Amino acid sequence: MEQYNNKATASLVLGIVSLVSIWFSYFTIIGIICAIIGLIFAIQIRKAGELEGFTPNGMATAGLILNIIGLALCALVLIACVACVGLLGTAAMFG
Amino acid sequence: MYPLIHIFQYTIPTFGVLFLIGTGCGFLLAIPTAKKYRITTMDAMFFGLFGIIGGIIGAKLLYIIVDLPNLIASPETALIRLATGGAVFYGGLIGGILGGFLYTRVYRLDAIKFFDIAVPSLALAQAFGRIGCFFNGCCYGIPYDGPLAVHYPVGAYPPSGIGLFPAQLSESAFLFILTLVLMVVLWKSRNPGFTTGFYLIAAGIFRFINEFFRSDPRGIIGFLSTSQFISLIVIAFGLLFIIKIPQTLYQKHLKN
Repeated sequence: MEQYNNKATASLVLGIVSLVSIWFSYFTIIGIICAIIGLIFAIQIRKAGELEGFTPNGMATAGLILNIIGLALCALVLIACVACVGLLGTAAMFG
Repeated sequence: MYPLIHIFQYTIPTFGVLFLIGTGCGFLLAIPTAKKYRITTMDAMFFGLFGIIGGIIGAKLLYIIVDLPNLIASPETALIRLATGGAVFYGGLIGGILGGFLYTRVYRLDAIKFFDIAVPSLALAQAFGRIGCFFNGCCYGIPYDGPLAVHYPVGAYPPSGIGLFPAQLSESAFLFILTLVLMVVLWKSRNPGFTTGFYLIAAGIFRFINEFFRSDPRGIIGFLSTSQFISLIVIAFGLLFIIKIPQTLYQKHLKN
């Protein structure tokens, strides 16, 4: 677990940043990027724990949870009707 | 109808709420479904999370690609447009599939089994998403006056004052039923990949037919709408899965 301590800290910090970014409407996109990176770190630590046989410490677990919540809330704030934007986009290409 | 929900002083898009509910239900559905191939809950959840990450990146990337001329033409608004919205569905779909596939590559798991597990959850999440489309007023139907016709208020995206066919709700109802059917198909299937093929064919055929009942402005390729054209490709992929070509190719790839 020792070699993953830095990653766990980074994951936690990124999770907090992503949650805080929701309050600043134009920076929610940065929140999503932070949540994505933090989530990948947290998943890496968890899978390494499963494969190498240690239990991730509390910071890694907190990072995982905060990043999932951050990703969900940032996506909620940012999402418009994605499917329709896509179709309008292709309409512009072919119309 | 109700494209926005107001809570205290915050305005959130209804579609977003339903998208989250759909995703949450999809993840919950994966817990019992994963037992079919003895996949751990953690692996199933992380596969789903990688899929969502891939979907977000893919949707944004394809939007940037599609909108590049506009973004370059007016760079001062480009950053705002990128930050506040803009995503292409098919980018999200392809990104999601690649994201999930990447997870199975990195941790050396059987991708086809994961896709089989993912497919009922995907149908369930899509079903909720279509309800979101209904509230948002996009993807609306052709003018129609029979039972269950939908009337949108003035100011909404669809034309008001006439009854419209409930295209989004019909697709949502179909997807809910398809989720149940896929659960049964998955439980009884003996070939990995069959459930995926079944989903692709069923969803493709329904989408193709449903497109005839939609009248919102969308792209056209020849005499088919863009979605119908893509549905044909999706049905073709589904048939490939039924006759097991991707599975054989994947096994050969795993052996190398």
